Amino acid sequence: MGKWNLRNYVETIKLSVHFTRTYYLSLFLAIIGVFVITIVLFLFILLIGSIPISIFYGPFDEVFDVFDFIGDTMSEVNDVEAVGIVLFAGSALLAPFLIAIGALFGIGQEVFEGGTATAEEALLWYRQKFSRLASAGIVQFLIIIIPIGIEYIFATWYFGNQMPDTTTLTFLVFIAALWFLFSSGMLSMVFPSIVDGIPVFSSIKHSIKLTWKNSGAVFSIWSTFSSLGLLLLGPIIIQEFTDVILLTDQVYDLYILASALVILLLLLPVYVLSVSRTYLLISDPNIKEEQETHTEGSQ
Amino acid sequence: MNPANTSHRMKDLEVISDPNTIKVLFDKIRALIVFKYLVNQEMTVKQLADAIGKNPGNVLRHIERLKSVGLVQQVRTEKTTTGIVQRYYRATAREYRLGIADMIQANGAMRTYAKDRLRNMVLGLESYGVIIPETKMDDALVILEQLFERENQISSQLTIINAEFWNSLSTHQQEDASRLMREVMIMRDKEYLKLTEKWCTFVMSFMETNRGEN
Repeated sequence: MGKWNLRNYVETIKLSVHFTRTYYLSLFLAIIGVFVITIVLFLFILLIGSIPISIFYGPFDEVFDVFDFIGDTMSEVNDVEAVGIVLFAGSALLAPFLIAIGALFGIGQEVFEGGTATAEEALLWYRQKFSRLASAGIVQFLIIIIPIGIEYIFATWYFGNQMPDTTTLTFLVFIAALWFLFSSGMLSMVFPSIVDGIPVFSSIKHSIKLTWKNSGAVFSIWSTFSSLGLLLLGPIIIQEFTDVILLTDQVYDLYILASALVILLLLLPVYVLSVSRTYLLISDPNIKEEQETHTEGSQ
Repeated sequence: MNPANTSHRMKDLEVISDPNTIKVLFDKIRALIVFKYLVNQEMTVKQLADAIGKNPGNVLRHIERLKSVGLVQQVRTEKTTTGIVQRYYRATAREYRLGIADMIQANGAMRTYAKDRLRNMVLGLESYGVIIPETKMDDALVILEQLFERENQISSQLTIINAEFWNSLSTHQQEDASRLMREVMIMRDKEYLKLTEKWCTFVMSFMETNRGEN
């Protein structure tokens, strides 16, 4: 890939929006399909996880009480153990969602390589790449979250039971958020690599290598969509973590639902297509621009 | 025909001995993709899908499986005037053969298949008056296995260096060039010549015996 420029960026976003509109029904059905399976899988993992816990600590009234149990346990254990619980429980519970997102990249590649999209294919990618997508998702989660966990352990060790002052707290949150955004961007090419047939650990290396060589391409796309996501989630974050009240209770609940739907049904497909195209462009350093004479029978 | 990327050289012959690779090729669509289309030319997923009459997503997943076992490689990427990114794929070799020796070393059905195939070849010599008795059948199979293995080894070292020129040749020219070049390579190999001599002596000894009996 030559130098990533504004034209490539605009073209990628424009085409992704265009294809999202063209194949919206397929993409919509694919998203619904994979997320239905994901929720079933999530509940299954929750059920499986709650069985041994309920044997040792008494039965739960309902399966979701396992979250209360995890919360209570975390408040009782030391910081290192708490981070361990987050890593373990987070990996297990997030895996189904990560497979679902990963499977959508199969459709992304299909759109740009095949010029079409079918909802059924997402489910086939889900089945074909299940273990690789799950493993890659968990490894990504750990790479992103472990340094934040280490920061948390060091901060609690340093400050003890005292709450750090606002400046320090802001700094710590800023560092954690920066790492979260940077590492997520750096690993944004993992799922397209998995779909491309690269094994899990090679995909992680491949994504980092691609980002290193094409940081402009990867981060311009990543920062666009993470900014849009943050913009949508901004009012929720502000209301949840500060004393500022932006929306009344009723509007707030509606806003949460609306922003979740916008992210899932609009932002996610455009993001998947943008990342898929970027991957196809940057994964071949010798990519050529097609001449007019070649167009016949190509697409 | 589009020029191929010179960094992805095509082998003249590839010996398939890995059971996983053979299993991948048991699928009819995958076999069609490799043996009918990609050994002859580089194609995009869209072009393959149109040629086979399957949906591109399905073809893409097959290509991914074929890539994972090293039968297909991506040779170049092209950005179309409409901004679409097209990847061109091609087979890693012009011809594929099953590695008899490795198959015989394997277990189960594959071993039986390979042994039966060699055995049937030897039995077929009867039409030329060469009748190999059952007591000598194992000897025949061992020599033949070594001979094929060596031939495959030599032929699989041949590489098509000028892919662009190769693609401009007709199928007959490609086949002739390949045959001539393989002959040159195997006739220069001492081990192959020694095995050929051994095989010829073996076959001729039974031909004479049979003639004597008749």
